[in-house]
Amino acid sequence: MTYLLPIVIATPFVVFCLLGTLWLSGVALSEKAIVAITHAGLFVSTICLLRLLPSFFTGGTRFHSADWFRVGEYHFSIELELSKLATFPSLLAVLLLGLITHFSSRYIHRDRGFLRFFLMLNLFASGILTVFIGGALDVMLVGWELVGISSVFLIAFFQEREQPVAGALRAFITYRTCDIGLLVAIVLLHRFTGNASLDDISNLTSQQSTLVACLLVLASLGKSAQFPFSGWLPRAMEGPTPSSAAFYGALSIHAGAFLLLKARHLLEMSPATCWAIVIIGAVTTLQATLSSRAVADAKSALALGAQAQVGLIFIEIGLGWDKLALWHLCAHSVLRTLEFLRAPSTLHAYHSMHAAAGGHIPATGQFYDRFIPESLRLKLYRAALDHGWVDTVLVRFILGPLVAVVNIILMAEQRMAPIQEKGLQDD
Amino acid sequence: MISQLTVAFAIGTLLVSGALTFFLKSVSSIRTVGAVTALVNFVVVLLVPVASGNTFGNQHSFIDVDQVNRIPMLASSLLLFVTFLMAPDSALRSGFVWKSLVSIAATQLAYTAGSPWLMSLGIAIAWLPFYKEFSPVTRITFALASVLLPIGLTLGDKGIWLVFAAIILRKGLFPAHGWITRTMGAGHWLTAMLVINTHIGAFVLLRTSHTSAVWLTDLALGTAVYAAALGMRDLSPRRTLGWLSISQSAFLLAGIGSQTSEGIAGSLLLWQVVVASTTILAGIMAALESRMSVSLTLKHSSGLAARFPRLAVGFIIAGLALVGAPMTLGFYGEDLLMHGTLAAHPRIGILLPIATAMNAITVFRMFSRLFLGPITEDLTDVPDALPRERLAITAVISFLILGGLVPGWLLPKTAATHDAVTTHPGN
Repeated sequence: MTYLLPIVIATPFVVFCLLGTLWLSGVALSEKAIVAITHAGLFVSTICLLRLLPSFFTGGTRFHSADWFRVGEYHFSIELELSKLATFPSLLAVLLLGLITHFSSRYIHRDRGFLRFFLMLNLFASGILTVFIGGALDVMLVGWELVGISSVFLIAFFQEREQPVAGALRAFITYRTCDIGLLVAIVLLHRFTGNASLDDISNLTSQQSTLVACLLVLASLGKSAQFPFSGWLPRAMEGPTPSSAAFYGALSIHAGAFLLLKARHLLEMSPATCWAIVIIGAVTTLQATLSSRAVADAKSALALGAQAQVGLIFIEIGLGWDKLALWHLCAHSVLRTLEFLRAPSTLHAYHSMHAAAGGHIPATGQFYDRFIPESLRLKLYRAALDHGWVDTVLVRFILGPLVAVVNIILMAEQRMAPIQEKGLQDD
Repeated sequence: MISQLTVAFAIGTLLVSGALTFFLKSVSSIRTVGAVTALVNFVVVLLVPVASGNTFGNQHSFIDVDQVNRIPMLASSLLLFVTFLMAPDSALRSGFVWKSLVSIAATQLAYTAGSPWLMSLGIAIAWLPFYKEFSPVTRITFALASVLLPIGLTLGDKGIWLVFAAIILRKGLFPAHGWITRTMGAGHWLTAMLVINTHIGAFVLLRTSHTSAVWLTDLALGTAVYAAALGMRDLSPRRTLGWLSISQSAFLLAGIGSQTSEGIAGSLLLWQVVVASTTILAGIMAALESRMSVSLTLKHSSGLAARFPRLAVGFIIAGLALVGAPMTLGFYGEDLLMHGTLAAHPRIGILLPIATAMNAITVFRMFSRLFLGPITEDLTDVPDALPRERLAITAVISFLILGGLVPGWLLPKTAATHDAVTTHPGN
């Protein structure tokens, strides 16, 4: 039965390769065929997961391949594990992606990027399942990167406009910066324990465990859009609504929280890191709640709402309430997916509701605002408009000086090596 | 003896074909002769029996393929093949093919040479065919390296610092990196890539591996970060690709200098990736520039994916493989390198993942500025990838992705290579 685990993650990747190869070969598939192939891939993954579901009650399923390659003492093998922690998020992932595939078949209908959308959705499916089922950090890293790449390409889906492209670049920069944490954590774990498993860490000293835990927290902040790496999330809403639902409502945004849940043993050895997670979660929740009250578009409000909820999940993880965090994660995924998928028809629903009520329904949600003094309200509003000034501070005081230094060096380099413009070339 | 004759045949084929191109008038026949010759060279090198260990300094070995030079030899054939397929017609009219064939023949002579003098001779000849295309700084750099290397090798341990100086000059490590940006800015893209991608500096270090070379790893990592930082801000695609090449190529030296089996194996794996990816990136940019009326720029989005979707796909896959994206060969190369360098240099080794992250941002920035956003030029009736370009792109993408799925096939017999490299008298 363990052989079913690699099939779960490989099937969407095979579909991705198949669709990509057919396109490169010049074969034009119909929209129905693309959707059917995607559904088939997700169906196979779902069946495999359902077949493995009974193992939930017997401690999970593990798959361990022979060495993928070996160099000296270092070896890379594929370790997969459908643990109690991973079972429900994995099942939820395939079911929600199936739903989103069905929704998208009409939503993206006749769009020039129809195939591109489904290519990326399959790549994402493979990536997120690898994150959930990966038995060791180096296997999870593969999925982690695939999730990042597919996310960025879907943000830039409407590629003929400037804003989605800029938003994608912003998300990519954040992902890659934070991924350094995961990369270094893996290498350090290999050095300290001889492998990249998060279960085999009893030999770590307190200092070593704190170092690795902090690096994993850094990695999780980027994917889960937590303070101070949250600026990319509202910009990511430039992507199509179904992909926003899959990534920032349901799955991708929870990947960071899932990584921390998986690193529970490590966090137990480092109480300081747990408190740092609680503080980060609390700051993110406050910042996102504040910002969501000032944004003008529905999708950004939903994204900030999701960010605030993930902040709460981080608090729960920091406090050690893992079961609550897992249920919160799953419930939030389902609810937020529904909200995102309904976002395009918000106005229609709003009018229908008012018509059904027989007149205008008074606005709600202003109750607590009245407790805040008038002068403070204005300042908070300005802070909310600028997403808590997080990006402004980062750019002005950290990135700005670095960029200025690089620009000065670059100017000197450019003077030494001028570019020969077109028309003046040798050929 | 038979293997030595076979190597001589492989090198001789390049020279004979180079002479043959003088008698050919049509561009397509020159291209065909060049590409077929490169392919024949590749097959012959692939089939030649590999001598065990490091044959360098062996009196009975005049020219031989051994554990150390096999991958550089195969990579140089691949480089030649891809370059000829991607080169625009205009480039082939100015004697590019014979110059390239002679240059690579001399490079292969240097790779296979059994004696220091023959290796130095090959290295000194290899850049001469492109003499006129190089800037004065590049000529001086190469001439100096050609003089320092034989003197250093003759003096043995006493002259090792002269050898290191030659390595720094030829590899373009800081502060001797100026020739790479100058060549990228002034000459033809593909000429520049042909010279850079032979990685002469890294090869000399492979041959003369010395325990005191560990400091070269520090310099290489510093160069990698320096070039990566500048690449993130440069607005010229030519120079940006130059920064990318400097940074990624410096990794090779860092891995070899680490003297660990993981570092050396990672370097040899990444060697293949860097050659394949940067050549195809340069080829795609040359193809774009030959189709457009203005020079490419990163100042604003050009939206070229709308007109050249296949070139865009080739660009992003090659680019992501170069910076170690999962499911590509680059992932394992970077992974091994990171383990090797962090084991040898626990503190400064952290620069490697930082430089990798910055290079990834540079690749995506280049892609988004060149291919995404609103289209800025009227490019109706301009073809996407031509059949010969498609062949080159497909070959490279297949190599990078299949290599990512089965890296064990492409990994050198690392234990033997590590022994071959580190058993040099200098150790």
